[in-house]
Amino acid sequence: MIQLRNVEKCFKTRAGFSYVLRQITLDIAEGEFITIMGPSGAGKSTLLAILGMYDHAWEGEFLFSEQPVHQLNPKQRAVLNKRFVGFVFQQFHLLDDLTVAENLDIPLSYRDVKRSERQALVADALDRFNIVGKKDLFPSQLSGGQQQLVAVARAIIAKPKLLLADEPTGNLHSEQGRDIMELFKKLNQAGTTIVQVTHSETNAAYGHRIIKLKDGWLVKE
Amino acid sequence: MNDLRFAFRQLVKNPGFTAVAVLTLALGIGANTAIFSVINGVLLKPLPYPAPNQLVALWERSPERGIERERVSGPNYLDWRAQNTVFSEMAVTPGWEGSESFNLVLQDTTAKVRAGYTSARLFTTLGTKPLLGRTLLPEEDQKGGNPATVLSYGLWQRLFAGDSNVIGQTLTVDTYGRRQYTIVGVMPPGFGVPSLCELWLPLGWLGVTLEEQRSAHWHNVIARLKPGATIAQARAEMNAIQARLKQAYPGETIGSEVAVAPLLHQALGRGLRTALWVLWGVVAAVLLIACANVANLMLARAAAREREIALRLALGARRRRVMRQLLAESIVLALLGGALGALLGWWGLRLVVAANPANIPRLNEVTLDLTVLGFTLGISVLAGVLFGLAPAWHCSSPELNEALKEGTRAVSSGRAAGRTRDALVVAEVALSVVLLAGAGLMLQSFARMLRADRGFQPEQLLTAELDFSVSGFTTWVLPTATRPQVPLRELLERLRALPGVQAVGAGSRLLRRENGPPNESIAIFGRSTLRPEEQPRAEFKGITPDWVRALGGRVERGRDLTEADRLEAPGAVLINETLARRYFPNEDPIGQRIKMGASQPPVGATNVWGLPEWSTIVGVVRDVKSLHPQPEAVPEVYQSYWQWPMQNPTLLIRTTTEPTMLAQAVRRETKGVIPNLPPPVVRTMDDLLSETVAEPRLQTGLVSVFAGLALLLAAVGLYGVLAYTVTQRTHEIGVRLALGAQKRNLLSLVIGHGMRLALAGLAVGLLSALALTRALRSLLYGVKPADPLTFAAVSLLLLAIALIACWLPARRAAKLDPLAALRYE
Repeated sequence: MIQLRNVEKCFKTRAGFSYVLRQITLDIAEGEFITIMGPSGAGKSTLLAILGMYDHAWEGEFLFSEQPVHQLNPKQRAVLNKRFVGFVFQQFHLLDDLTVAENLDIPLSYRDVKRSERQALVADALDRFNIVGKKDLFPSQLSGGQQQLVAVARAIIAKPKLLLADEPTGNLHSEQGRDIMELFKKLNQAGTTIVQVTHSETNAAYGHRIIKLKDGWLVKE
Repeated sequence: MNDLRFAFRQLVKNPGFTAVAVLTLALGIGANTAIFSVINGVLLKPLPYPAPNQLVALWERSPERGIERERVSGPNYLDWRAQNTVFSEMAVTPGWEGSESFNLVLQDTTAKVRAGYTSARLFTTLGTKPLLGRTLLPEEDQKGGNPATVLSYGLWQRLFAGDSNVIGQTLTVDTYGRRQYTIVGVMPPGFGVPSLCELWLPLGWLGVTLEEQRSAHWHNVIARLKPGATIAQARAEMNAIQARLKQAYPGETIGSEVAVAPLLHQALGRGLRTALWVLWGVVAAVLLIACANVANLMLARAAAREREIALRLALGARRRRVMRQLLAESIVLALLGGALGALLGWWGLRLVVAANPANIPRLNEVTLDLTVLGFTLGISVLAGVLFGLAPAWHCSSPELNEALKEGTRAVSSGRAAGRTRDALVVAEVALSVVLLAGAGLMLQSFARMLRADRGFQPEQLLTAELDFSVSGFTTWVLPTATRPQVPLRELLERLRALPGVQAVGAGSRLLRRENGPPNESIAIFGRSTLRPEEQPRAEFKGITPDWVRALGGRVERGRDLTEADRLEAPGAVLINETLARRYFPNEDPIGQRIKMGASQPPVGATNVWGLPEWSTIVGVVRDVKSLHPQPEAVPEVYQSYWQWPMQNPTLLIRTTTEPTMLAQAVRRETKGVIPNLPPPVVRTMDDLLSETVAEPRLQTGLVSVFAGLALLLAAVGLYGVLAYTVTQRTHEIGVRLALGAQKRNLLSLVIGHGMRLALAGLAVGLLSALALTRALRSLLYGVKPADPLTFAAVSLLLLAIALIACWLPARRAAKLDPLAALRYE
């Protein structure tokens, strides 16, 4: 599904170039559950942002479902992202002024899904994640775990093929974190490819394999 | 719908921001609503007649004699009507001074009404059918024709309470003869505009026929263009007709050209039209400043929402979609501002209409109609787009990755947004400088109008207009020993005897109200007859001996008129300095002979009234200028009132006390001497002068208010930007403090930034003002559009206000606690 060949990212500084990622080459098959690990500053989140096609300042080759992402312009990449990718942020990043239902509705609305269809999908998601009773609440009225749950629901409501999660349990306590990881496992079993960034070995155990980064280099695949 | 719902939610969530933004917009939109209502109602709304754009006014002009506008003589009008091919209809109404105020004799009183003699064609020219009865007939234009009359709707309501049986009833008009007129018709509401006439009398009873006196320019002419004919074509044809008339009648005073202008334009006058458009420019600038202020507020708010916007983009929103949402918020804000602005505009309009000090035509009919409300809606939406576009553009494309990271503040659009904010403030300051310059020039001009030396002393001067046109008095020709001047002499004596009265004089007319060259040609004895366009011209007036003293004028050479200059005595006149300078530049005018009219009869010849044709110049008086806001002096001849065949004198009473205290006494003495005269119209000269500057006062007042508002908004804008900058740079300020910065360093950091913006705005504003204030040229008196004093004062005022606006946030920066600032995120 994903093929990276010699992907690199750097910043120009007065002293020269500062590399964030160096010669990253890896393959991710469809249906895999991959964990990216490494110390702070290793480039994990940057790699995830590149996989999610949010970051455009990199070099190398990136094939996504046979499509050469490295040859696409940012607009074309955004189209790919919309069709195939869902993203779960560490900070949840729910829209504070929208209710739970409206937060779920937003990605569908941006994909020009018809209103009636959106309503059905939102109702489905609320039901699936057992948050029907919270549909009219605002994020500030939810606990951290509930917010991350809504964030995960929002990330998958458009049925993406690839789910990217950046420290999804970083701001949760262990029980909430476990619930989220169990949910990821179920999603993966249902066919969604998942790539997560985490510091937690416990969370990493949910995945099929671990990719380690250090100082921008791939250490172990 | 989602966008609108979300927009409302955002505004409710931020009540402070919403209130400030809505109020700022409401001020700008309200001002535009009020002024546009006036422009729409007075300038743009067509006259209430069929095909109003075909209606034009015509007059004669002689630019080679400096006469831009002159009424039309009766014979010229008849020839125009007979010879033209561009007009389907043409009508005439007399227009000399005093021809529009008539006395209506009611049951137990006499009332003044605006009336006029008119040709029957007026009604067909304007194309309006009567509401009741009929209009005047062409045969009623003939001398001695049926004394019919037509009422306006308003007069019908006031006098007859809308009684439909009014046709056939009579009205008694007592002006230059008492006569009964039979009411034959009532016109519908609105008929008559732009004139204020309420009663139409047949031309046949004017007393002068249209065929008489080709050189006497008395009449107003209106006409209707034929379908397809243009004003340019009409002008060309009328000029050709006029050229033929000049050739056919070489000895007559005929204008060399014919001016043709849309009827409404002619009625309003160029000065008023210019003033209204200038006012609209002013309020448009105020709205732009308001939009810039709100744009800055939104930019600041948008920076705080950068993460939200980035998230929406990360969730799949296109940039267009995000901009649409942000613009929806702007437009909702603008519509709220527009709704409040419409309310403010309505309130402001009511104030202006209620005042209407300048008697602007049609102003009393101005309302907030659908056109104006549509305009308000339109500019609200436009304002919303204007102030929403920059923030929407800037924050709809954040650096996604950076914006979504925890712990990072909005940086990607910060620098560009900061430059935009600064540019908006510079633009606001520049606009307010332009408005301040305009206001400053108009204030200076108005002050000069008030201080203008008109050649007399207006303080402690009372005026009383007597109406001798009512029955019991002769018409304005043929002075006799028993004519009304006799009781007038007695009245003057009794007034002189009142305590507190210093001098009393009577004159055939008070002072000219309009500028423009004099109408009457004069002949100087012994000078060869000239072509009509070279003929000397002057204003003639009859005055009693104490007139000059009462006015506070001065006899510069020779003597004043005395009681010895009576009917039986040789003709004696005074001339003013302007006439002396122009027509007697190298000789002493005292002893020279002068007469009204261009002919040169022999010495000793008498006129139709048996009075000597020639009068001797016995004195030269100081120039007395007109009552026009921009007073000018023209050549004037003052004949002895006792040798002058005229009516309706105006009394001048110079007092040693407050003049209003004598008003009652003047009325009482007048009634005592001439019991059946209508009560005199008594006003102080100060009040009269105040009336004449009512229009400039209104214009200056409005421009000043809006300029002040613009300055306030610009100052608030500057303060807002600096306050926001201080907040944004709190961490930096903390670092500077930790590194040893003093209070003065921080003050100069913030004030320096602000004053640089103010200076940039001032420079742009001054250059723009130099170009734009030229539009005010026709409205200014005694002040050039590039008056350096005004520009200097405006610059100092702006810099002072800017300094205050900068000082407050600078002080806040200087008071920051370094530790708190270092921890600030």
